[in-house]
Amino acid sequence: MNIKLNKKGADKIISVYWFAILILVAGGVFMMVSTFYNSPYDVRGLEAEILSDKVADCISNQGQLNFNLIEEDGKFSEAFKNNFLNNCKIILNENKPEYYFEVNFYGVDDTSNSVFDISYGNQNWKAGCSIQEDKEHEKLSKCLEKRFYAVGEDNVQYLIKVLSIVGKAEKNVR
Amino acid sequence: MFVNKGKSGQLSDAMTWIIATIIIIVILVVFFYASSILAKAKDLEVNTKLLFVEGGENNMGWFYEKTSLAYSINSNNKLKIEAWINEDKKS
Repeated sequence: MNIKLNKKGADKIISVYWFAILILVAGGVFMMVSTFYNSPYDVRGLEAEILSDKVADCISNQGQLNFNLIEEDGKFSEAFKNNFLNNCKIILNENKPEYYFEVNFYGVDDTSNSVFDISYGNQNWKAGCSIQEDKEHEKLSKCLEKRFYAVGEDNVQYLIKVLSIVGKAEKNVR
Repeated sequence: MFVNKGKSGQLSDAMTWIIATIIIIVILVVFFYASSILAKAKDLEVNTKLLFVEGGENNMGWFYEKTSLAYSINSNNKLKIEAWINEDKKS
């Protein structure tokens, strides 16, 4: 009696296993795609840069301070400060302020005490800038500080610091 | 009575599939890790208004141009001013 084992039973089991592999690969592809597309683009750095550029363009032009910024007696104009957004044609969403910017003017001789300040927006975002060095909190508001130099009337030298902050963590961070 | 026990067949097929499964899982994990890294690369940092000057530094920007123009008007205390501006870059 010659008994020869065939492989029919094993083929049926492997066919089911083939579908299991197929599902595994499909699940893996689904996870990869969802991981990539579920994370939003964080453009807050770019927004902060645009905001600081816009503010700086309003304050200084061709190396000189905006003539409307300084009054005839040489002092900084409070009227310009109070109406800064209109003067600079900057429109922020006032219903839900997600932005903050601050401009500090310093003399060359004293860089620790500002001679004039302009600020607008949600000041609460400013507190998040100091703790952003910690990686755990880096997804808070995006802060950008830039400095430059400009000349006022009578060749008076001013050092200018522009701080721009963008919140909007809900739309840009996950 | 002669029983022919084949040496090839069921067991070798199963071993093939086990190895294939392990390889597939490893490749999936690698690609999943790569997709998560690509997702982190979505944090954009773009410099607007870059001033490209031949032989210039890569970090030239709009604020640098403003400062340079101001120097053409009054270049006193230039070292002091540059030191103050560079404090920002170090922090």
